[in-house]
Amino acid sequence: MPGNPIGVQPQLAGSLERGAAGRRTLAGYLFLLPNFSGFLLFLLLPILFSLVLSFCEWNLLTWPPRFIGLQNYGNLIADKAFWHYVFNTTFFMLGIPFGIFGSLMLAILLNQKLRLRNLYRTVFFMPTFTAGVALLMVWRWLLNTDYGLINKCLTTVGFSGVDWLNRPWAARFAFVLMGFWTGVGGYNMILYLAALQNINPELYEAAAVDGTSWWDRFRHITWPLVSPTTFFIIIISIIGGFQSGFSAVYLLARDTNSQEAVTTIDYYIYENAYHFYQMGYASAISWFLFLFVFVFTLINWRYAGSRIHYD
Amino acid sequence: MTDPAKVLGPLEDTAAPPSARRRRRFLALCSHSFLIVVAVTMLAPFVWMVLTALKPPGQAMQGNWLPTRDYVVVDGRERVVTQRARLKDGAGVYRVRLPAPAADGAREIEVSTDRLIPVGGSETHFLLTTGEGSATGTTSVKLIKKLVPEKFEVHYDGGAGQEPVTATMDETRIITRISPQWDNFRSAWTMSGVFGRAFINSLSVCILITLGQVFTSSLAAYAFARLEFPGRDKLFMAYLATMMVPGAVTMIPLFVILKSLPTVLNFLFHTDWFGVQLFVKFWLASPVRTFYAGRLVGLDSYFALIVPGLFSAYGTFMLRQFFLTIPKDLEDAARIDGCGAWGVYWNVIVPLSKPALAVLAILTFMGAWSDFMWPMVTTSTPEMQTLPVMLQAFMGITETQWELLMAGTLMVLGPVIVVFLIGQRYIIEGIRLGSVKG
Amino acid sequence: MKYAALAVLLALVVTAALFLRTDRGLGAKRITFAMYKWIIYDGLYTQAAADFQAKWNREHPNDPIEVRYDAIGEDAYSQKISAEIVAGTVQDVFFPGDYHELVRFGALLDLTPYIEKYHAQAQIDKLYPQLVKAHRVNGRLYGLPISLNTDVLYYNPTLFDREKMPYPTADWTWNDMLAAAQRLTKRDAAGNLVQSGLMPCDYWEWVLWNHGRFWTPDGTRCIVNSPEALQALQFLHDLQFKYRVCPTFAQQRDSNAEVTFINNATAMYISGRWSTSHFQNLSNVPWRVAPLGRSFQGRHLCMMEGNTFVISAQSKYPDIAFQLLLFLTSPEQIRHLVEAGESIPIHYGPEENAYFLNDPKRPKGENAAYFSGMDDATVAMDADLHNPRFTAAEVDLALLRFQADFDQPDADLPKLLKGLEDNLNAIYAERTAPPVKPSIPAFALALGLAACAAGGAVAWQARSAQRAR
Repeated sequence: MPGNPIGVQPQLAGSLERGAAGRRTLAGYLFLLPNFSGFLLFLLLPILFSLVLSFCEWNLLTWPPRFIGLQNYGNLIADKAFWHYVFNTTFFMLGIPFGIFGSLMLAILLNQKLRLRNLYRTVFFMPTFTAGVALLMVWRWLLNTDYGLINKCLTTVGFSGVDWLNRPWAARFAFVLMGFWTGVGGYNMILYLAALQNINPELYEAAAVDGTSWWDRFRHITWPLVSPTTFFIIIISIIGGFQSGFSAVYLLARDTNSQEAVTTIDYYIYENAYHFYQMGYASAISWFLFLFVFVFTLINWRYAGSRIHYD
Repeated sequence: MTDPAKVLGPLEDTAAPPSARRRRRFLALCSHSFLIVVAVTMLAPFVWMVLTALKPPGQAMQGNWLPTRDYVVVDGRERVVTQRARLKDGAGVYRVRLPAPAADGAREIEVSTDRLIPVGGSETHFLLTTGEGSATGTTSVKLIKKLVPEKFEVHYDGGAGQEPVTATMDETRIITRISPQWDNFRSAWTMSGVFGRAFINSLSVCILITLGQVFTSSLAAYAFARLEFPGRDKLFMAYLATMMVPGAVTMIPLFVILKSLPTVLNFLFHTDWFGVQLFVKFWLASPVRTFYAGRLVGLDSYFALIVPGLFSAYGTFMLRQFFLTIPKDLEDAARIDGCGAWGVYWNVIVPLSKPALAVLAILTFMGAWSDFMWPMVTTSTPEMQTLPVMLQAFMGITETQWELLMAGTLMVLGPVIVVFLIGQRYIIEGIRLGSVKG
Repeated sequence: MKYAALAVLLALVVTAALFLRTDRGLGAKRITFAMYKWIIYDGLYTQAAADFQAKWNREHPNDPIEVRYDAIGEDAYSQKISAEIVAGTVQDVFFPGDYHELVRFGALLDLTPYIEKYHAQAQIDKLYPQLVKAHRVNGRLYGLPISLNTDVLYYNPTLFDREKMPYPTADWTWNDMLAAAQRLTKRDAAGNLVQSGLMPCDYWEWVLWNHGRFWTPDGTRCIVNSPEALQALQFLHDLQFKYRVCPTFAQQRDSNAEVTFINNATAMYISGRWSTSHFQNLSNVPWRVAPLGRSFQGRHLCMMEGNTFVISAQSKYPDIAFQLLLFLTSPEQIRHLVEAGESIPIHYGPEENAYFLNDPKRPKGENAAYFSGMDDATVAMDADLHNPRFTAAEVDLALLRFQADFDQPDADLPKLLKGLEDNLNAIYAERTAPPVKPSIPAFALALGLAACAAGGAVAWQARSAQRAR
């Protein structure tokens, strides 16, 4: 049963208790120190710098940046291209629940005493660890209209091939599929596997004795007990979802007919910063995005906080 | 893993009657078949990648999986075929088997090869075009016998120093053979630059980043998860918040910070040692070779490549979530035994979180290995480049020569695979240890 | 375990002490120059760096320098240059990527006073005047050209011989080209292209060759929606979808013209001289060059394009950098580039071009094809496509949108072309309009909303934390 450390020893009182608490505070800060100092210098400082930049106009080549107040944000709201890309980004995130569910299912399947499960795990993880140039080249082949594997499969089954990278909606669908395929056997699955291992098997035995179905066991035992991991994965996926898509667009769809349909906000930020020489505007987009994701995460935290069961 | 007391997962049930055991075996079979299908879907593209690295030029984006070359035997010698095209009047006649009997009851018919289209590069399965004009369609047919072989216009290599030759040939004289081009790897190596040095750079930088990040993140995650101090949750919120800012815009500010770091440090310490250039001099061997090792601090240094990567909000977040799932009883037991915060951390938390630490290590290593943007921007000399930077430049040169690109990419992927296989074992160990408790 | 760690640490310290050396870098002056990475440039410019260093150190023994050449990957080239300019570490001489942007933002050194100081006008006068004019901004010069390319028709004579067809000549019209291409196109049993008749390499040159124009001479209005442009684009579209003598542009992303030409899978294609660097040293690739011929509007409008080197405004040694720039654009250096197959000579005059026009390795008179149309009163330059008043990337994005629709078999070209013109005019109007001040109520509202959201979130969090305690 959970108990807090101070409550375990009720006889500690007064200065001893305060001393222990004080030592723990010091320990807390010391443990945090190495990470925090780097965090401050290399993560926080650049971020604050970019916040200042979002109120300026900067073409990277001249110094100093020119302060223009909220004009970047004003332009942002009126920018049709930006909202088009917001749509694209949100569309790609529709695949997240499928990915989470898929990873959990695969983790449950692999949690059994199956032979070859190590082999399965390695194979499922392969898309993740080759992520990058290699994988995107492979997908470029897969999605090739004339010779790609996907179209080949479709034609042998009887459907006609789809012009994946040249038609907007086909390209969007292809990107969602790509995201699902790459992520389903990856880190999320491993995290779920690790979390499943922490579940006390006696709970399942007790439930089996009571004669509950496997769906009920899943809903009442497994799902709640992996909820911290689920919560983590949801947050990370959404945060990542808003910030991703750069390499996919860069390597698959850049300078093609479907570039507009699959450009995400991340790529638009890059374009503005380095191709259009509008670093201030790019920073404004980033911070606008940040605000949105931050509020969303807080809502999620509050909502999920009441539903997470910590041991 | 034969201890019956180790029940793993919701689908296992050891103390069960025979019918349940049969049911269990059936479930296992279902699981296996499903997993195999998924595994094949995952594996197929990689098989293609390896095979494409071995293909001769021009075959990468075609339908065949295996690297093949066509050969003809002329004057007792084999010559490589460079092109094979259909002749207008070179059609042959094949006997094919229809899927269903035709109007006159015949199951096998003889058709001209003009009307046959091979399915997926196959030698035996074709699509037969039927009908005329607006009523054309296709049916799949299977080859029974080639009655009259088709003729092709074949262009083949004339041999050393000779012009290519054109001839009309029966398809029976054209031999298709599997011919892997191992040379592609060598070409990729030589074309891409100083491969060896970039490899060493990548390896050392990634190992250091991985070790450092796992260490600092786990310390911070422990502090956030189990230690209590004022401002803890608000600080964690700040960590979380930084993850939500896209990296593209923070790169330039970080770049400016790193560029000014030597100046600032020199100013603070009243010296000018922080901007020195480092060299490694192998005076043992002869001739003496000197290698440039970047500056100490600042741009174009190992410091710039490694240190910003040591601090990650993502790692802290992930480990914190994981540490929260570790039951507090163990911690309490350790504290009762007299451990301080460090003791609890080192003796209880770390051994139990091997899977999560392994995941973070793998993740960090892979992220650092394939990071292209940051090393490209911070390094200016070729000696300090990492592999992805070189590969990116290589991509620009090779454009559509997929075989070389795949070969280069596979070489860059090698260490990642090794790291993954090593990290895998830790995950297994961690899972086994984890299930002993409870 | 602790001892193992200590032992490792000790070993590292000892190794470092033995082998590590430091250097304050206070040695010779260092001049750097950068170009995007390409096999030809790597070898050539590394040698040029060594040559210039030797030459300078010989002429100035009291002022030694060190010259270094950096090859930067093409994909992220402008990003790297921008980052270096921010840090102040940009190379002294470099290929600019976006020339007009860099000029506009003051990142480049004005070369005019240096030309006067070092009496370099004579060398610059030997360059083709159109090239120099393209580099002038407000009458001042900020960069010098280092290569030149025009468009010619490459063809494979062996494939022509097989069909017993005559070779292309300067009098060929585009319809002649099409007829030849149709005879030279072959497909395999599955209907896939085995041999393309004619591979067109890009969209917009066709408009320019057909005397279509993008912008008015003063650059204020887009006029691409013209009958000439439509005619050219229709022809290009038909090549791919109606006559099907080549793969579509989308398919060409996966196998481009040079690679297929080397594999004898393309009979003709149109490109600049830089294409020959891919295959001029391969013995089994038969190739010839013909002038581009006549478009529907008469002789094709010659399009001249080339690379530039500029000097950074931050350069610590502008005089030495200027000498390096002159060295790199001198006829001797350009000759290396020409012989490697990357460029045609950029200086006019019989003695500059004789080695090229009379190249013994090519059939007599063939290399004159590269100069076809250059003596016309009007030639097209890259700036005709990109308006210097806004960033090249913005124009490219508008063109990309057009291309996406163009690449469909059922594209409605007149409508698309009108759309493109309107689009570019709209962008121009936006860029040259005075900046709009955000309305006070709008941004007060935005600020208020943001504050409410943040405040509400924080308060909520605090309340739930309190409740949990």
